[in-house]
Amino acid sequence: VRKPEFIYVTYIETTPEKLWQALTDGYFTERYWFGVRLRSDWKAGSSFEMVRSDGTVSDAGKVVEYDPPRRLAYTFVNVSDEYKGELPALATFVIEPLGKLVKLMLTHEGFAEDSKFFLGISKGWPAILSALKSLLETGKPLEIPYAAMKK
Amino acid sequence: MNIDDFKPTTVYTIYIASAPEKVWQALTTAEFSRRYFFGNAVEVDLKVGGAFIVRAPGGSLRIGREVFACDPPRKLTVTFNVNWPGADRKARADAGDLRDRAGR
Repeated sequence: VRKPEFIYVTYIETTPEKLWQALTDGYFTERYWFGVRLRSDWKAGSSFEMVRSDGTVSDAGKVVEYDPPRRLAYTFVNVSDEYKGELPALATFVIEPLGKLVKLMLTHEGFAEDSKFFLGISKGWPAILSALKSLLETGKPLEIPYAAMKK
Repeated sequence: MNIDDFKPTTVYTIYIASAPEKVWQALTTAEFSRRYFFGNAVEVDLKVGGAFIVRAPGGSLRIGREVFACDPPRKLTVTFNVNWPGADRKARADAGDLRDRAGR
């Protein structure tokens, strides 16, 4: 049985530098990431956290790669009881300039075969990355109802 | 062919600030599809068993087969054969399970 992995590609009318900022600046991420602020000093090996608007940490892991504006990689796992016992999986963002566009490819791998966390991220990334694309292209994020991801 | 024989190997979800009717029109009309589908024109007979055809800008058949499920403006399922050199395998594309922003 192949282990599950997640791959998502989207094309965005922006620059690699703006997309890089959108992926790494916590004050930018909270505008499209369901209010989540990413927190890290972004050195390889440093801690990486997703911080909710009320200040609590939802997910935690480590920075693996920080190579602006082309490659970003970090591990994380949700720290709630719902995913108790699951190990951090590796998310890698690759940014490729294409004239006036950039191609963003996200891969997320390293899940156990029966991972519930994999099902969670499979619902979450399309919403987060759709909102990111809309924000960069139009200046307005999408207001995606949280319940939409439960389907 | 039985639709139950197919299991999705590619799944892609995207959220769009639009209305279900507008996305449906974008997926099913030649005029709109030419603007985003590399100039290709989608021609679809919107009923189960109807033809699903994609024509290249010159008018030649690019891909085609048939409609398996059609529930405007929510769900369209089509099979298609590709008609370009070196490709002879049948493929199925599920053009979408459209939900509005309320998730209905």
